[in-house]
Amino acid sequence: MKYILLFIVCNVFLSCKKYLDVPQPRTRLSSSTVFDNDATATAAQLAIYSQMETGGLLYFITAYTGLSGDEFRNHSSLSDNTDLASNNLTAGNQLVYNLWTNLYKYVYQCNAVLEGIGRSSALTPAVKEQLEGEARFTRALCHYYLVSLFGPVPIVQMTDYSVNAAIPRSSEEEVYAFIVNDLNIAMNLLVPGYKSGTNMPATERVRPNKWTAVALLTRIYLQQGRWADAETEAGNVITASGYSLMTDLNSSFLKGSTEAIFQLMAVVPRYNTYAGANFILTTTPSSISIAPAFVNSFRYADRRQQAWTKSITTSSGIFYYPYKYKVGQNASAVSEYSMVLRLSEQILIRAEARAMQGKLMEGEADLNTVRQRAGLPALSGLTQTALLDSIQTERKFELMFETGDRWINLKRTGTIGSVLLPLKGSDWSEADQLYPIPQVERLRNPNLSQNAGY
Amino acid sequence: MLLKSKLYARITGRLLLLLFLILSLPGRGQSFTLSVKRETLGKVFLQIEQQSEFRFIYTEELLAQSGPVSFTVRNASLDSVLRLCFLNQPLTYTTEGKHIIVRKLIEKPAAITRELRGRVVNEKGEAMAGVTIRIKNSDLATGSNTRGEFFFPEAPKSVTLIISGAEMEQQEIEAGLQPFVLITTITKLGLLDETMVIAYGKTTKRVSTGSVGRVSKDEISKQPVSNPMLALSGRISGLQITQTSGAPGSQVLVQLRGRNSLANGNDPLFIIDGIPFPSVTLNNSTGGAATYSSPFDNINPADIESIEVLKDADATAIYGSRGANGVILITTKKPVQGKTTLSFRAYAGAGTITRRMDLLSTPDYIAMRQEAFANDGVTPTNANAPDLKLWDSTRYTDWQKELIGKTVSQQDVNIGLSGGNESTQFLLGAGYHKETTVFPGNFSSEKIGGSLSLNHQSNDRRFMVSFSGSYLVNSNTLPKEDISRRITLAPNAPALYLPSGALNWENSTWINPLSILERSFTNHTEVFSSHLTLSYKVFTGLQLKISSGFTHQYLREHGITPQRSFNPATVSVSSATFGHTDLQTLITEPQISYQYQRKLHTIEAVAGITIQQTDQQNLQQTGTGYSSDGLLYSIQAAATVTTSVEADTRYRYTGQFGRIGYHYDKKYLATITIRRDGSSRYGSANRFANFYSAGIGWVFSRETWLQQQDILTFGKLRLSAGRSGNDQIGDYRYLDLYAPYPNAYQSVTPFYPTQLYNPRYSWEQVNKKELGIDLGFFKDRLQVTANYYHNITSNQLIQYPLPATTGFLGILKNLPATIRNTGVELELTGFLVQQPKKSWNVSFNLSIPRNCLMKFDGLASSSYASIYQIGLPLSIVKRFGFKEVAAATGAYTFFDYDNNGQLASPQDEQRIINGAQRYFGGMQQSVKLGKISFSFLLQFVRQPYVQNYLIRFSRPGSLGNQPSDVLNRWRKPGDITDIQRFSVSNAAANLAYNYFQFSDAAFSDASYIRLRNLYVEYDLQSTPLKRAGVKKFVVFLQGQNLLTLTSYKGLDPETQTFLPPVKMITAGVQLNF
Repeated sequence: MKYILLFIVCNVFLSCKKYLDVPQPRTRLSSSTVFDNDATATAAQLAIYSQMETGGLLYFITAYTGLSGDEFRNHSSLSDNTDLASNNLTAGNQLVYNLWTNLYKYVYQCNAVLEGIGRSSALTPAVKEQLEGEARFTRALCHYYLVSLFGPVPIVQMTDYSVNAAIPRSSEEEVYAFIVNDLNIAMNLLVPGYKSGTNMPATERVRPNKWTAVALLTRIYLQQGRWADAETEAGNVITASGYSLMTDLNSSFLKGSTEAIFQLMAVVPRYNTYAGANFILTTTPSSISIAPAFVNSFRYADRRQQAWTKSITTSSGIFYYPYKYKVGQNASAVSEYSMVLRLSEQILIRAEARAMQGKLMEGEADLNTVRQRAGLPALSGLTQTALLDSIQTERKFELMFETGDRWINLKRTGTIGSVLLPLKGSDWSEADQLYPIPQVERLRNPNLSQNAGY
Repeated sequence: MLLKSKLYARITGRLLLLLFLILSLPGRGQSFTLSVKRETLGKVFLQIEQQSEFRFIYTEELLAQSGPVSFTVRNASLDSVLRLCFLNQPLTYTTEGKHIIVRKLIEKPAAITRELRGRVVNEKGEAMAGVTIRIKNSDLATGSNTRGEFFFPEAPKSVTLIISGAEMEQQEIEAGLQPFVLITTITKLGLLDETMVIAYGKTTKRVSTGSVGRVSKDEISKQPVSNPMLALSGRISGLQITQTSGAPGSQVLVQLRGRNSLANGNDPLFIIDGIPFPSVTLNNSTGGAATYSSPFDNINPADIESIEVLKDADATAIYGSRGANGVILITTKKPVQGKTTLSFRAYAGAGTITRRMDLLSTPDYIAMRQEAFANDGVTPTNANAPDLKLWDSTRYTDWQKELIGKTVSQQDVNIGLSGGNESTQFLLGAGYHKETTVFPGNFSSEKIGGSLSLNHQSNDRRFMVSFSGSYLVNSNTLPKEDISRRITLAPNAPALYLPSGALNWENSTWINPLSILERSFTNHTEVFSSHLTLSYKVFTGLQLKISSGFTHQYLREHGITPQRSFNPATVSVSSATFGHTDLQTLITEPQISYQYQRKLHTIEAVAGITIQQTDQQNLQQTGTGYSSDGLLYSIQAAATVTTSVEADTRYRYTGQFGRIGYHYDKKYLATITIRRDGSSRYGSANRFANFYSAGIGWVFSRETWLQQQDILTFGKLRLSAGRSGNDQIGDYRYLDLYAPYPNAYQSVTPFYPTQLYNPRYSWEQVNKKELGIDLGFFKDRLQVTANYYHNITSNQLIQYPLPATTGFLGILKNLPATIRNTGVELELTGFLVQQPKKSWNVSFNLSIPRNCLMKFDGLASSSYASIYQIGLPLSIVKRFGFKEVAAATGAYTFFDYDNNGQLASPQDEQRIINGAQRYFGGMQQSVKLGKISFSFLLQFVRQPYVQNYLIRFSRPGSLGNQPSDVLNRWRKPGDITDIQRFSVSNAAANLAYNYFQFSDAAFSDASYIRLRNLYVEYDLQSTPLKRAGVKKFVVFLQGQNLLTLTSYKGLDPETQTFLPPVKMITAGVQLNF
């Protein structure tokens, strides 16, 4: 009897360990199974785009930099917003913190995809290359916005939280070098064609292709002053098949736009783009409208004012709002996607790269391509300085309200002070061109230093 | 067997020794022949001296004490002659050689012993085991065995026995010289010896080393409540019961001895007949009346025999990883042997909300609005003042009466049938409960359930099987919103209905509150539970048992927001929510228990294994865009369907436990418990943990030095310490999981990583210590229990804050943060009058809990920084500090803690408010006078800082009614008051009011004394009825929450900003055949 009992007890004890190995929840996937097949591995990468669009990443970068810069006027009474608009940011600003948080969240997911597909042996090689290319591009894009907004930032290239929790900032040069490296790998892994959710050839431009990686690379080359590289690579994009400027400015941001290089597709129910849903005014603005000075700076003939901005008159006055995206909330059908990269920027990049190298005629030609579509007369015989100035002016109106392009270019060209000082007066100081490293981050990671002025 | 033969060997040994002693008395060889009749001893001695050479040595004084002797002997030995001489004389003798020395007899404790056997039975003639039998004026004592028998091998000849034991009166029995005594015990009324259910066993307060509170079915049945947890309010020290809303079925919070965990569950472990009962709501989102449904509402209080609350380490450590927050054991009624009895108990009654607020009348309200417009220099328009410009300014509606003033009706019926013979007993029960609400419309909660319980034992009583099964359906429909929030409507707001009977929207100038009631939420819950226990008594004392249970809880939710709940003039989207929760728990616990009694030593040991599995599936979907309100019950008819909750989890749990209890003479008590637990909620490296406890007790009243008085009749000191754990952390948190993201991309459902995973986190541990004393005075008619506990929770499992560069804001990690819960509990019970026809009992309990966050590394950088502060309780909130109403501007002003000239959150939210209950308790009196008995319970709670009505009211002066306190407002510069100026659109005043709502002014004293329960019963039993077969016939009145004394600024101090509880009066009858 004793022995039987002992036997039973021992057996039960031994099987306890095994008994506790419960299967994973059936409504979730474990990281290993996610990267076990092409479909779910792809779904992990697509999740990043879906979240970027759902969370309004592009909109928020546009809005905040526009408030800090010269594009927007603030109507909110919340101190986080007024501080942005008056360049009085504190390290405790929640809006800046949200941007930081979301960008690094996507970086984590890119790293998770890279590590996941790296470990997996079950993926089709083509899909594996596509996903690695996309993840590297997306990681580069996030680091690009981080370095543009915050200056030196940590380069996060793995998921290990113990490393990432104590990571120090890298210099801007290092961050740009990291981005260039990722993009070079990505452009070699990615194919020129676009892919569908099942990795079949697709017409919609909602996953990065080879030219998407190149298009971001040219921006960095401009930043790094690699004019020849910028010219060559931008040229490759411009001449690649499938890309042309839409003749009708009102069609540029449609989902079928031929000037789109990479768009985030509409994912939120009853929304098209996050920007359309939030910029378009139906009453007196409570958060953002276009700054009157910006509206006044439009040249008479510029068709983009008509096509890409709009106004509303309420009892409190007239207010202008961005109208690149024309579909607001409660949309019944989807016609517009959020633009990440598009052709006109590549043309302007090549124009600048050429102008910088003294190729003034070619630079003028590129500039005129963009001007002509906007209904502006062609320019000719400009000096290098005048050409570069004209390119910057064109950039302002062509790429206004597009993911901080205005703010980032003012910084890049060193003109930010001269532009903003007259507008902002004593609120402006040179240190304001970098956002503060969020206070909470510095409390949690003592290795993070703060930008000057905060 | 071994034991018995040893005993026999010893007894025989002693008998032989006795024989040998007798035989070895010195033989004198010589014989005597004497015949004396009433002769003095002196003369007899002379005759002996004449017949032999023996000489007596004595004094005349000695012999003077002796009496005359008479006997006749022939050829007798000296010894027999001497024995006859000294028989019944106060003298004795010794022989030294030829001398016989006569001495005075010195009384010694009865030198000669004998055997004494006996049996102890109760009034019904059933054997009573474990009864202590003590011989008066000696050190001898023993205990009765399972057949009720006891044995003293060496009892003095004439003895008085003192009988004591569980559930019996102590009594003294003159056993005289009888060799066998049959003792009938007298069952005792009182708490010390009441059986208490504890983990895997039973005990009594007399011998328990742990801290256990108990509420019996008698107390539960006095209360007209649907949720048995509400029946515990104010009755058990250390147990805090909070009803969150007066809506039927709404959540009841149960907390024992404070919050132990920063981030995880703080619920006690609930066990019904050995099966864990989930304490977490089954709802997937807030349900009816904006609260969650309470799972305990799915228990019929009439099925409950008793509820035991296990508090300290000694009582809870056997539940190991789940015992950190205490354990609540619910024991259901079990069948008993006896004639088949049908019992019927029913009651019905009505009720209204406990408390109302004093709001402005129409004239005062209109005056307030006009003053506000005048103050701000704004002209009232149709748009900003429909109440002044469009609505009838003389109209008055008491919105409290209209919206939450309906009378609740309640009906409750329970029928039971029980009976059985010695081997098989059964109990069949059925219950029905219905309760309507205070809201207008047809909202109600309806419960119907049945149960069956069977016991069987084999003829030799070694094998026992018991089964119980119950099924309950609870259907509860409430408005989605708690419309008690709408009592702030302007008193002159329009009529609810148009003359046509349709809802009145008054040209879209208001939201008709009745439209809100069109949005309903139904919880339909079905609970099935079954329990099977098999046990086999291998031999007396050793029992093998296997106890298994299965519970299935199913909830179907359905919430609707129909088109008709919106103003027809506006564009609106109808929607419906569909939810399902399916929860199944299977548990089996093989156990072995051993009981050993030998004289005064009692050992009770139990060991066992727990194997448990819980599966849970949740799904909640919302359909929007219905073309017709008639289709709101179809998900297919919705234009868009979104899934908000989808989960499928499995939780497995194993445990091995053992407990050994020892007591000596019910004087020295000790218990040791160990448990090893494994839980699937932890990663493979940390799945197992050990928990343990030790408890000791000293019943000092049994020490001889306390036997000489009869004031203190019972006194016990208890000390326990141990460790238990908390695994209420949710499932799978150690896994690297990807979840589907709701917004599809390229028609693919994306998957995103949900968390940083940490496979190494481990258990939160609570180290509990308790010092307790139990005293009984005046034959235990006054009983006092006092406890001091000191619990430290460490290894807090929290979302450890991480920089966002990690991709997430935190990771589940153990932090050496510690929380201390200390407290004092006091319980007094007095049996003031105890007579068959008259009785008067009083009981009182008081709990003074204290909580403190002792340590939290990195608090400042964590998301808890604005919530907690080291050295302060977890119940604090930080708010703006209200300074005064500025005499010049009439606006509220606040303390600028950082002195930067502007008010900002969180920098200036530095006023710390402790919302904790400082002390709480209850006082109950029950009186029986012949056929009438009544009892009442007064509950008291001291909570000086609780959120008051401010959060529910908009700015004074704006559209909407106000508490009448606002009449005391600032009017002109120089006024000193605490209510700011009336204002409609003054920016400074608006901002100030927003801060005011988030300042310490929004907290006020919500202490209360409540007549929680009143019960009156009249016994209608009579001889003719008895003859007709009626066993019991009583009628009763019950009152719940009848009276509340409080100065709370708001509706009710318990539910605070939610719908107040109902004060209910019911009348009922109980009839047993």
